[in-house]
Amino acid sequence: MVSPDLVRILKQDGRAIRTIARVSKPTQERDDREELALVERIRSGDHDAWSELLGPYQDRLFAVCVRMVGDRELAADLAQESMVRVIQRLDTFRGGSKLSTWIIRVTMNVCLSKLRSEKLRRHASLTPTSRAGEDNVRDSWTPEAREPGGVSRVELDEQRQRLSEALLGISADRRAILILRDNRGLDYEQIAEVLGVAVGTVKSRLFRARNALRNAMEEL
Amino acid sequence: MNPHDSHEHDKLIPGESKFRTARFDEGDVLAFVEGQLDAARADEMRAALDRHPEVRAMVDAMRAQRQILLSFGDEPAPRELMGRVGDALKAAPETIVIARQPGVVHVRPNPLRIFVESRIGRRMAAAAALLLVAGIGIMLIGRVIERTPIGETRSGFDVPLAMNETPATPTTSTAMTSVVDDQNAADQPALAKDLIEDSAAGPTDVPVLAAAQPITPERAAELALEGRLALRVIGQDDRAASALARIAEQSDGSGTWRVRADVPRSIVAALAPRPTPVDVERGPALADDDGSGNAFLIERSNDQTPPVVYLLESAATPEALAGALEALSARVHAPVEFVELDSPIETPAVVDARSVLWWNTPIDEWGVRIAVPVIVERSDR
Repeated sequence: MVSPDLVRILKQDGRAIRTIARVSKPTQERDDREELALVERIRSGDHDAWSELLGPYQDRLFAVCVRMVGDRELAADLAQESMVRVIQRLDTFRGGSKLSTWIIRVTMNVCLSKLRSEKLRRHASLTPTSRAGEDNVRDSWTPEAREPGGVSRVELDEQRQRLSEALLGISADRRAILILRDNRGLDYEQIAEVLGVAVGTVKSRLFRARNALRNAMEEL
Repeated sequence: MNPHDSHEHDKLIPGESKFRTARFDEGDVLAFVEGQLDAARADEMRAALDRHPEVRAMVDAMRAQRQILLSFGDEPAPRELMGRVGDALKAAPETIVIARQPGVVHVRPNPLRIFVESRIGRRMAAAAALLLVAGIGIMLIGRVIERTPIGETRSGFDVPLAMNETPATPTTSTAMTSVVDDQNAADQPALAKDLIEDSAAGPTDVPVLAAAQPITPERAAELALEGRLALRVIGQDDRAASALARIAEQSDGSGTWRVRADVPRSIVAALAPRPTPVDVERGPALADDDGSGNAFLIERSNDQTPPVVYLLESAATPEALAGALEALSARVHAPVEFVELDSPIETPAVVDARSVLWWNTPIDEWGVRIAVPVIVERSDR
């Protein structure tokens, strides 16, 4: 729920309001049948339907890419590649899982492939992901974001900054599972589907990933 | 009684891959971190953690990390992202897969077609076509040049100039024997006869220049290097040809010269009799006198027998050629003479033990070895 004060602040910037409206759309989960209908339209030759299908996903996919690579420009490239690949390989979507899970799986594979091929983790930019002053993006803090209780906005930003850096300090596979579980909120079955592993493996890896992230934060 | 007392023996074991107690496993800890452990189990967990503050610190840190990660939410994508995706899809529209729909074709991009339809591809295709046309043209021109005789005829006949200079000289008799044992040699008359019959003209003549004077060995060596030397064996009957066949069979390359019967068809064809030129000034050999105006009909002779040809391999030196001429004449019991061909003949390269193992031969025998045609003809007409 958006607080009245926040709405008042945001109204001072029309662009931010438009962005909020755009970002809030994915939270209004579309019906699975509606998405499958879009898929069928694309398969039937309605090439313009791809934007209708992927539009609501763009922020989610971009967020996954940003968290994975820590660089917004590279993340945009990867998000673009992911969406193109989703459309190009739409015929391989069997409908056995949710479309959203399949799309995230494609995106995660694109990111992991990129990281593995370029060993990006070693050279990952530690550029802050907050983008104050950029006119084409909004701050990552959104009304939908859940703020930990008892911390101030400044303190939260600092913690986010540290965690972002620590996240880039652990392996890509562990980063992926943390993002899928703690950032994207996927359940264990969905994570198992995205990563192609068993549910038990997901739990084990998630525990190790959380422990690795804690160690990485302590080392900062 | 404090419920925690009953768990005083519980032991939390933090580790990289295992975290368990006598009653808690990784799943319980994950659920506790995420706040999804049921209330009773959560109380038990808290009691256990109270007894292990170092583990508690770790679990608290995990919970805090999770809260921060949850607070990230979505990232607003760059506004141009969808446009970029659209551009990328437009760049390869065929890759938008349309499948499993009745009546809809599953279109896949054809890399070759994409390349050919591109600007660079069209230019490269045009260049390749141009090169192909030019290559075919050059090849055709080369063939025409190759087939064109060295001289031109005055009356349009394919007759070398050298023969035109001596049109009435029947020095090269066309009566040749065809009695040889070698199969290849036996094919020669048939081939030459075909060539004769294919000719539009009538009487034929072997393309050999009439020598006003005998050719010296020195001149023979020069002609041999030019490919214009031949040896002519003049026999009274078929015995000369038979003798040459035997010599060819017995030649093993150990001597300074040898005779080969496997003559390439191109040489036989080049030595086949050619049409006798028509003297335009004096009229045809046999003019039609029925007043039809067909005044250039020439009678076709029925006694034109193609030559039998062998190859003599020898060093291209006057001494070697003279020695070969003398020895050959002695063995076939017939006169043998050097003759000059009006145009060069391409003879096969000589590859024998002498040419390969040249360092084993005396120095005075080092030199170019050539193959000279040996034409056998009968003079009993």
